Amino acid sequence: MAEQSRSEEPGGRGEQAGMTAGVIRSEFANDPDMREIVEMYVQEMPERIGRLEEVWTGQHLDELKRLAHQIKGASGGYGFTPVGDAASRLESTLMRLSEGSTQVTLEQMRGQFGDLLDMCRRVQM
Amino acid sequence: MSQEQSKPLVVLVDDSADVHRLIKARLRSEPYELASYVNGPDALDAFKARVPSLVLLDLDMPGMDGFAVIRAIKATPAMASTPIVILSGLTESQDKVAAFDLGATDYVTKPFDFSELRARIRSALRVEHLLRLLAERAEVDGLTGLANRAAFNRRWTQEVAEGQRYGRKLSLAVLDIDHFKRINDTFGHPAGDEVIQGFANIINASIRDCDIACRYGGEEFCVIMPETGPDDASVVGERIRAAMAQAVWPKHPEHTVTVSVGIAGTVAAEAVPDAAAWLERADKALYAAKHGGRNRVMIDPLKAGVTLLKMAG
Repeated sequence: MAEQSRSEEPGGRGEQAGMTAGVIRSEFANDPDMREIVEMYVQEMPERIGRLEEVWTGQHLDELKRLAHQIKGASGGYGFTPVGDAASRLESTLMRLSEGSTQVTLEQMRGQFGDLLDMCRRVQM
Repeated sequence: MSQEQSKPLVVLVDDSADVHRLIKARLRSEPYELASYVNGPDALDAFKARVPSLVLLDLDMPGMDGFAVIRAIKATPAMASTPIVILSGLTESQDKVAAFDLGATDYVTKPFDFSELRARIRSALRVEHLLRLLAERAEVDGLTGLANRAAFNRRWTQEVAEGQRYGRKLSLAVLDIDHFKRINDTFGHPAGDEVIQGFANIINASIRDCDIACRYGGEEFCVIMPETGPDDASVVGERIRAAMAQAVWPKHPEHTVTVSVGIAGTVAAEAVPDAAAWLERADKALYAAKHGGRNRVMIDPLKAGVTLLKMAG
C-alpha cells in the first residue's frame, strides 16, 4: 500500500516541502489569538509522529488508542480538522478491536494508521 | 473559602497539555480568571483554598477519571452549586448520561467549537450566580434583612467550635421586645412590623462590623459577638437597650417600647460545653431580665460554679 511505504520513508515531509497541494494548514493560521499556539503545535508534530511510530512498532495498541484519542481531541481545536478526523477513524477501529469485534482487519488498521501519519506529516502553519 | 474576588474563577481539569494551551488562548478575552490542573487530585486540593465559579472537566483521564472528580465535587458542601461543564472526547450517550446523572451541568464534545464553549460557560456562570443569590436569600429574614434562624444556627455552631478550638473570647446576646403582643393588639400588626424593623435598625446601628445580628423568631433576636468577652458584650447590649427605650414610634409616639437582653459570654470559650448549652444560658439570662422587671440587660459570665447574673448599665 502506498501509505505503508511512505510511512517507512525518512524525511517524507521534506520531499513535499515545495508543494502547496498536500500541505495541511491550520484554519486559524491568520487568527492573531491563535497564531502562537498553532506554531507550537506544529513544532511538536515530529515528536508526535515519532511517538506514533514507536507505539505502532511495539504494538502497544492501548497506547496507540490513547494517542489517537488525544490527537482527535486537540488537533481540530488548533485548526487541523483532517488530522482530527483521521485520528477519530483510527480510534474507532481500535475501540471496536478492544471490544472484541472480529470485523476489524489488519489492513484496515494499518491503512488508517498510515492515513494519520500522512496527515501529521503534511501539517504546516 | 469565599468568592468575594472580583472576577469569577474558571478551573480546567484535563490531562492534555494541548487542551490547556488551547483553552487558555480561546478564553483569554473572557471576563473570568482561568486556572488549570492536569489531574483530579491537584484540582480538588486547590478547591479547598478557593471554590471556583465553574469547573471545566475532562472525563477520560488516567488515575482519577472525570466521573470520580464529579463525585468528589458533589460530596463537597461548599461546591453544591458549582457548575461542572464536561469537555470530553467520549461521545457515547451513556457517558453523557452518566455524567449528567452524577451532577454535571453541561457537556461539550471535543473537538470543540469555541463560540459554543464560551456561550455555554457564560450560561452556566449566569445560573451559578442566581443560585448563589438564592442561597443567600434563603438565609435572610424578609422583613428585617437580618440573618434568619437557619443562618444563625449555622453561624453559631461554627463560632462556638472555633472559639473552643482556639480558646477565644465569645459572647451571645438574646434580645426580646417587651410586651410585643400588646403592641400588635393595641396598635395593629403594621405597627408591630414597624417596631420589628425599627428594632433591627437599632441593632445594626449599635453593633460592630464583626458582630452577626439575626432575627431568631417573631420578636426575638440574637447577636453573635466574636472575640468579645461578657463585659464588652454588655456595653453593646446596654447601647441597644438604651436606644430602644429612647426611640419614638410614629404610629404611637406616646407609647415607648423596651427590650430585655440576656447575654452569655466568656473570655475562654474552651470552658463552655457546646453551642446549644450556651444558647440556653443566654436564654436563662434573658428570662432573668424579663422577670427582674424588663428593660434591662442581664449577663452570665459563664464561669464555673457561678450562677449569679449581673445587670448592665
